[in-house]
Amino acid sequence: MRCLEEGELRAWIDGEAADQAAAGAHVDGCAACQAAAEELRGNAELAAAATGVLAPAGPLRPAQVQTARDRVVAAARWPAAATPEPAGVTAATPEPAGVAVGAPGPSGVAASRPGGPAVARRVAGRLGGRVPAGRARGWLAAAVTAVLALVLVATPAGRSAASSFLAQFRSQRFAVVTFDPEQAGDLAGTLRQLGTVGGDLQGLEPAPVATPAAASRLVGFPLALPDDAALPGGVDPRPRIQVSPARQLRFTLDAAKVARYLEAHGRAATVPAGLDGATLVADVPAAAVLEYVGADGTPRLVVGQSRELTASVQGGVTLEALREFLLDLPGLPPQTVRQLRAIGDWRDTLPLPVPADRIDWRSTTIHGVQGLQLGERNGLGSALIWQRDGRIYGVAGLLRQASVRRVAESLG
Amino acid sequence: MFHRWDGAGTAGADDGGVPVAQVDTRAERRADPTRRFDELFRRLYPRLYDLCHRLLVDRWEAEDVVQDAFLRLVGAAVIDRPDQEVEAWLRRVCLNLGYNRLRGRRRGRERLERASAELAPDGAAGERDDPLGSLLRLEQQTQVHRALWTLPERQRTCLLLRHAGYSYAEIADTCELAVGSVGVLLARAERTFRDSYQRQQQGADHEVP
Repeated sequence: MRCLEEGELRAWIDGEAADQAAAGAHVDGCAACQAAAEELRGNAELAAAATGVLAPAGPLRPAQVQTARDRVVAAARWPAAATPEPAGVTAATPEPAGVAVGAPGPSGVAASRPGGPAVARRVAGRLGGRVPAGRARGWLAAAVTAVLALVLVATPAGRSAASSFLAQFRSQRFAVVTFDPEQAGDLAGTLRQLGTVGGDLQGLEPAPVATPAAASRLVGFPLALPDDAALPGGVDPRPRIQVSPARQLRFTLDAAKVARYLEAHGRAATVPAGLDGATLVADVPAAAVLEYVGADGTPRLVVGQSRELTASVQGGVTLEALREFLLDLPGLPPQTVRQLRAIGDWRDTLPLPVPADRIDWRSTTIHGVQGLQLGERNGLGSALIWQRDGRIYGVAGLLRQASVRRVAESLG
Repeated sequence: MFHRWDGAGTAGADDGGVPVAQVDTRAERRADPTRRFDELFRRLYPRLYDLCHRLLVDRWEAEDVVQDAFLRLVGAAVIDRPDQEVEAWLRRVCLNLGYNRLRGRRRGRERLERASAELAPDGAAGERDDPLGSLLRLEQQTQVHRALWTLPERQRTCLLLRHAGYSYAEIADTCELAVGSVGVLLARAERTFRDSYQRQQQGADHEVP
């Protein structure tokens, strides 16, 4: 073995060499390495003894740790999701699989729509879970913000204009971004640490609508209806129809908050000029959801439709700069960031958050365009999502993939 | 962007998936985040306090910094990451807050000198009974800090972490280094420290930045 380099020798002294035995064998027979190790050992012992006087005079007592803990817990602003729950409720928190299958609704960003979780709740009920409405609504707010965050970071550099309207994002296709459901709340929390989240966050529950014609008027285009022949056996061919209203979500960066956030993550607290007050505006269109229920009254098939989703930035910053800045922030899930960066056509590709441990997906062609096919790993649910001619379509259900596709293909 | 339709496989690192074996523990963490916070606090607070005390040489400031770091952990995305990542994050935040406080002092040794005048920085009863011993200790602490501040910050951090008992892997995580670089930095840091500290003891005057 060759002589050890200084760093290797230093590691060996601490028992931290990559190959401790081989290093030791070499040093035993090498006078030069022994001499070098002697010097390093002396330096290390001096440093250990000298810095020892910096240590606390004595160890903390358990009571001191308890006091410190109580102090922090009292001062902390706990996220809603972290509030301890009474026994028995925990198991009934919304299941990501139920959401992803039940909610793709119109766009696959259906998690951001009031209709999504409502459906998810029922589907989760069908799957055996029980989702308290209050908790589901809290989850909804988190999901909305999470989707907003994804839209935000995926939003394109557009054409600069003299006006404050700098760039626009227009959804045309989808890309899966694997997404930890537990990160939804975290992302919402992260956004609030960076600025303010506003817009239509509440009070936009989907409303029942009597006929497809009425729903078409509300969403602004004629709804496509599946052929009765394509519907799976055992469902009522007359759908329940709900329409969720259009909503605008706004996220405004706050330079002071950003500086604090950076500092807390060990970065220099420098905020690029122009970011303060920059606002991302996401326009989520109205969406119609057709629910086909089975004999037991629970939804087995959901067909959703809406116009495209658009987003823009207002303020003194280009969207490219904003996107770069946000993707570069510390504390974001690195894998999500990597996937967002990997999206080629980010001008018009809507990232679709998918819980990777529960859902599989692949690209597919439907009605001549590229769409996404998703399936629950347990085989219970499937979904298809695509966008064509400025409209987003989603079909999902507790069905096999082939059944979902048959319904999707029948949507003329 | 499209992957892995064959649902049987374990999720790969490329698509953000989580190996199946981890799912249960993550689900547990999700189930009761306050319990996770408590567990992290009880396990890590004493060691982080020790580390911050070495940096700040002040009991109250050290406690303040560590508590501030834990306060920032509440609601931070990192709390749901594996222990190793949370621990590295907390160490980074502690060190960063600690360095900021030190920079806030006009000079690194000012606090020590003020504490020296007050005689009982650590508030330990034994030391209050022994003002001379306490003074000597402060003088030593001042010398060590002066010597440490002749090192580049990263080397200084490596040295502090190592002699506060952190492993090479932990140091690498904290300083965002390759594990193989830790020995190199440590060897350099300790050599510079030795020279500087010996000059201190010989009475040579060194400015503290």
